[in-house]
Amino acid sequence: MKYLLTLLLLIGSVNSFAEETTPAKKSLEEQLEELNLPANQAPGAVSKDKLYSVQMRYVPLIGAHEVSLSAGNDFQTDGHLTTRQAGLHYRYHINDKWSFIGNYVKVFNELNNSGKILLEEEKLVADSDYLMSQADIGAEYNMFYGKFRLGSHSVFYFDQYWGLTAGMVELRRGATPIVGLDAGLAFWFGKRLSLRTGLKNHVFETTSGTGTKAYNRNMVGYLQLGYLMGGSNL
Amino acid sequence: MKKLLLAGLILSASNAHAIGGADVLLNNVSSDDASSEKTIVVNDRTAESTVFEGFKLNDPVMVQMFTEWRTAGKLDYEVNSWFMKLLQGKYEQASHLLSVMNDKMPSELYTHMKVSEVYLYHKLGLNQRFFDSWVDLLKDKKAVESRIGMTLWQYVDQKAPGFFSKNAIHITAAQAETIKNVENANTPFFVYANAALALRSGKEAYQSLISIPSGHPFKIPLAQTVILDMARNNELGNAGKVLKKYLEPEIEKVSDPYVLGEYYLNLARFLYQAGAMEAAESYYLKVPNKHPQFTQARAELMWSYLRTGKTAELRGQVASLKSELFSEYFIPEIYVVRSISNLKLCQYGEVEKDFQNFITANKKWAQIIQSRIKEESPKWSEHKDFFLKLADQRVAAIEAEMKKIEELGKKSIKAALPAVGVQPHWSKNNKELAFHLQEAKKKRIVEYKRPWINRERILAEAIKKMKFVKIETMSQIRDLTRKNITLGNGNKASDPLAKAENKLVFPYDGVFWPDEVLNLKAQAESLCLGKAAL
Repeated sequence: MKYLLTLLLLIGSVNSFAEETTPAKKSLEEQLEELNLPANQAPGAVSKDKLYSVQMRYVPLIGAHEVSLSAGNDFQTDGHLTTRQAGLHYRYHINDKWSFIGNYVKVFNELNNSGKILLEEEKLVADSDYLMSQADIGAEYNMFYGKFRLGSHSVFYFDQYWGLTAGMVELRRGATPIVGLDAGLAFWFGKRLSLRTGLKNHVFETTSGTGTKAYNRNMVGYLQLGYLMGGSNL
Repeated sequence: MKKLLLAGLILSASNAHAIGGADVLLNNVSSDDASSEKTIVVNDRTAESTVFEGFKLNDPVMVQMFTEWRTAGKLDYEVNSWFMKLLQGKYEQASHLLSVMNDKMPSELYTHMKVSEVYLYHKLGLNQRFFDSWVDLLKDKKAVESRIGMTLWQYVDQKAPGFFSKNAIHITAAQAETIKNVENANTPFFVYANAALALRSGKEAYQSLISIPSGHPFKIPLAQTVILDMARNNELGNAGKVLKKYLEPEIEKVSDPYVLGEYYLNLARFLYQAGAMEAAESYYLKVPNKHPQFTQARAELMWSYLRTGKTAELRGQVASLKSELFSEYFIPEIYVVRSISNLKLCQYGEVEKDFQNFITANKKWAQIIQSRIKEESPKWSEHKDFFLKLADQRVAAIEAEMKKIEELGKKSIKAALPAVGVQPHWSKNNKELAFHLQEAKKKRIVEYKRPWINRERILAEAIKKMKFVKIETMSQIRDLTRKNITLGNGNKASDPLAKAENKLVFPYDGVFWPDEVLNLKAQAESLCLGKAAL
């Protein structure tokens, strides 16, 4: 049996260089007809293959540097402020799963309608120890990946990630430490562009006008547009 | 070169004095060149330079022609007129007079006449006729070895490097013989002519391969011819050396994705033939997915997977290739490989299906192949390789040249000639070209039949292999029936997720995503009772 297979494989190996023909005694169609196996001779047992698509990442991240610009909105302010932020972010991808991150965020605060009414009608300004800027570092982990399809020719990949950060925040009444938890989706466009969207929760200590300290929490929704550099396959 | 030109001019100046200066010429200028006559003053020594002013002595042939014409003594009016036209660069006018001049030219200038003919055809862009007339001249040893003959040879050598590749020159068997029989034929013309002849000569192309410089369009096809021939003769070591020394540097230079893909495929084939399966697989996988031979590469990859026992990869590959996406491609070996793999896993029911699918899929191809081979002018709508393109270019070039000559023939009726009608040499030229065209068309048919004949051979080989599989399948089934053995329940025979740590894995649900094609791996089960029989 082994000899038979070897013979078949040897015949296969020389086939690639076929250029000339040897005249067949019978036509190809006749030869094909002769190949019919007698029906229902094979034992009935059947087994189906399970198929998986196993692919390299389209954007391999190992050793890549990612620089992003972001815009975000704080959905959990004190009720009198609209707080938006713009940021610059740097990631170093240790591998496809883990990365280090460094963030710097500039925060823009303005009175919202409630704050404006309070100011205009009551001549009062909310006692808010609002954020002015923030710098932190941390680590991120790509939990799972997926892909979605646009039409019949385009497929986009994404990673779902979680991140933990720690750093300092500059508040109206001074600097204080801050820790954060981040969850989001990173979409990869081509080999170099990324678009991240997610939510960040930060915890930090604020001081009221009377000097009372309290832990505060914010929740920032953001969009980050990034560019990948370096890496093993870029 | 400069020295030659200078010497020619000095010589001609002194000779002009000796035979009476420009007046000889002026007396012989034809009426259709009246405009130039007006500028010349008879018996004025300065007139010589005025007459020669219009001369285009910008290559050795013209310089030599001028020199020898000036030393030829008193010539007929028409002969001088013709030389004037030639030397003034009025090539078309001079070419119309070739037949007339043949009768009038004194015997001592007969060689000059022949040389001029070759030269004029080149100047007029009649490349096939230039080649023909030059090869004809090569038969006349005396003419070729004359001073003007040697100068023409020098001119031909200058033009030789790109001549054959750009103009797709057709070389007849008789011309090939003439070229072969010329003594000391190692000048550029012979190097390139022999390279053109060697394109399909197997290992004999090696001499041409090493003779032509890097970057020449023939370099890659010559290298491929040599390598293929060596591979056929199982001289894989030598083939590898040629590949490394001659083909790789050329491929780097041209940076053409098609050439690169073809190189990867050929390299993979050598490595497969040499038994270096892992290396072969890596090169099969490098053939880009838009390359015309991409499916062929993937089909050959299946054999490598089969030999290395990579069942998960093999069956995944087969699942993609047998899908509707590839139904228009000629890949007869899919079911051969699949049936062998199924036989290995004792999946006899699947083997039965493979036979049915093999017959159904290939019947259509058998009909197409056989009808194409029988056709007088078979068509090939897929990618055209170097030889198919060359065959097309050759026919197109001859047809274009025939058209050009027809135009020249018509113009010769209106030209100021001491003869009437289309000049006989134009008609003769087109007759010669008609013969070339007939031959070139015959060769093109052979080229266009080649891919179909190859497919016939590939399909015949696939059928032969299926016959072996059939015998083995029937034998195993008979054995099972005789011994009353029932098949097993299925043992895991392959692990698609092995070595997939840094990869993306998605289950395949029967719908192909564009990125999943040919990236499938299969978890197969063996129904054999013990270890797989094969």
